Amino acid sequence: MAKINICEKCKINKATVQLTTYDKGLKNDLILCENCAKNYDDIDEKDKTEFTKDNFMSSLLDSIQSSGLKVNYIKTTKCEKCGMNYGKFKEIGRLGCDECYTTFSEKLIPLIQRLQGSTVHTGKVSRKVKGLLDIKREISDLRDEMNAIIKDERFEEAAVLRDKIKELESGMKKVGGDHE
Amino acid sequence: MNKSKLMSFDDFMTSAIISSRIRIARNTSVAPFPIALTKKKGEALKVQLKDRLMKKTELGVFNYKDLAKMPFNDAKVIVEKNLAGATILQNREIKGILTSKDEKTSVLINDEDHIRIQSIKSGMDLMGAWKIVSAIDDQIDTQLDYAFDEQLGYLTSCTTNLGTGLRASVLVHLPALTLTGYMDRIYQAANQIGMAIRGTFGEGTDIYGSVYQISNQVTLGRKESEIIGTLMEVTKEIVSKEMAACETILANHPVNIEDKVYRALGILKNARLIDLQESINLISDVRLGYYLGIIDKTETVDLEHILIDVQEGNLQGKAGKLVTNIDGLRADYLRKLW
Repeated sequence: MAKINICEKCKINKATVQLTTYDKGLKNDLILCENCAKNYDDIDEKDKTEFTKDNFMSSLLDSIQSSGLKVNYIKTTKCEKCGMNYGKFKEIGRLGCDECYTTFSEKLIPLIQRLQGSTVHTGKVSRKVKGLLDIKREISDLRDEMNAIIKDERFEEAAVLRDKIKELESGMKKVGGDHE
Repeated sequence: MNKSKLMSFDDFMTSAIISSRIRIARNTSVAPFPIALTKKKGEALKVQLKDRLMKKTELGVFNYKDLAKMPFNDAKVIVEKNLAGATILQNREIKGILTSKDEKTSVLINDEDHIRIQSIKSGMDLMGAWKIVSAIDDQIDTQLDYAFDEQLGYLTSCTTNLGTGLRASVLVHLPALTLTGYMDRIYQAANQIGMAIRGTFGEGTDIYGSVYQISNQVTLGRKESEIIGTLMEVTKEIVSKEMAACETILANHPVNIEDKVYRALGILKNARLIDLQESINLISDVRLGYYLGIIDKTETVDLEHILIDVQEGNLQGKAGKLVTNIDGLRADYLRKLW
């Protein structure tokens, strides 16, 4: 017979949610009932009555959270680069570094969609990425060309293209990794 | 009252639009954003960024000011001149600012983002300001490893700046729309197309003298030129509504308005104590008189400069000594103008 799990927090209800937290890189699993899982994020939350842009963002995040019960994001989920945790981000409405966008992406992307009405940048492009994008496109074109030539068994010509692709790929690494 | 006639639409645009401002937010991926930096690391990054910008780009001709070493009043003046938001007054140790000689162009280091590039132009010249900002951006891009994501664009500390990092804004004087109670509708309409109307001195400030700041709310999913183009269109539309409101006023309340304008002139010419809000409100009333043809242009003052000149830090700074009676200083200053 399968064992029935009891919520580790209220110790009353049946546990249906597994909550994973990360503290200083250490994984910690909690088994909770739905109710406790929903409220987990708000433990110790300060009472905010004043309306500001920041707590507006925080309430937006809350509303995104309640739409599904995937409670992987809790206060202790931490960005490894800058140390920002999700609870603090919610409180101050500011991210700590570029990596935070990856760390908290699951929560951020829906928030950005709501705030900005889009999640795809169409404006100006930074020089380093612009160069990379151009090279990526060129490599992809050359590959197509090379494959067509191989089918025709024109191997010598294909080898020239192969070398050119290699050269571009090593150049790409340089563009991507040469910044201080 | 004389039979007044409104000026042409172009002249009206020139009078009502005080200034245009473009600023972009940029960060480097080599360090956490300023908010996540310790004081020590923030100070080191400030020096590093300043040196790099001054030595490797054309910003070498700019004037650098370290916020940490600056008297508090000088920092306040920077805010009053709209070169930075009030956030620079906190955590000043890690912040610095580069300004052009005319202080129309500036690069702010370690405020909310590592780099904020800004250009202010008189009247409606958003494209001119954008060209200046974008050229500086291109230069800095060669020197810093920008935090940029292929999907999300330029990564910023606050998600409200994400993507283009662009905030385009115009400062407009709308006394007739305010007087006729139309501003609520303007607020709603602007909001619906992704534009926000903010206070006289930027986000979170009140409206003084019917001076409003209109700016884009959305920074992601639209090209810079689209954002700027929309703002220009919206501003033009709002100013044409302001002109229509002036016509309504002329048709309906000539004596009341004439009285309001001359009373304002009387106070500005004679008051001995005047606070910031009252001064800007009165200057606005006088200017409305000019729009309506009640008084001559020579009786008005240039709004762009006076909005800075009548502020506390600026008056204090020009006095050259600590003055407690700022309202007196302001009244003296205004009497000399009229």
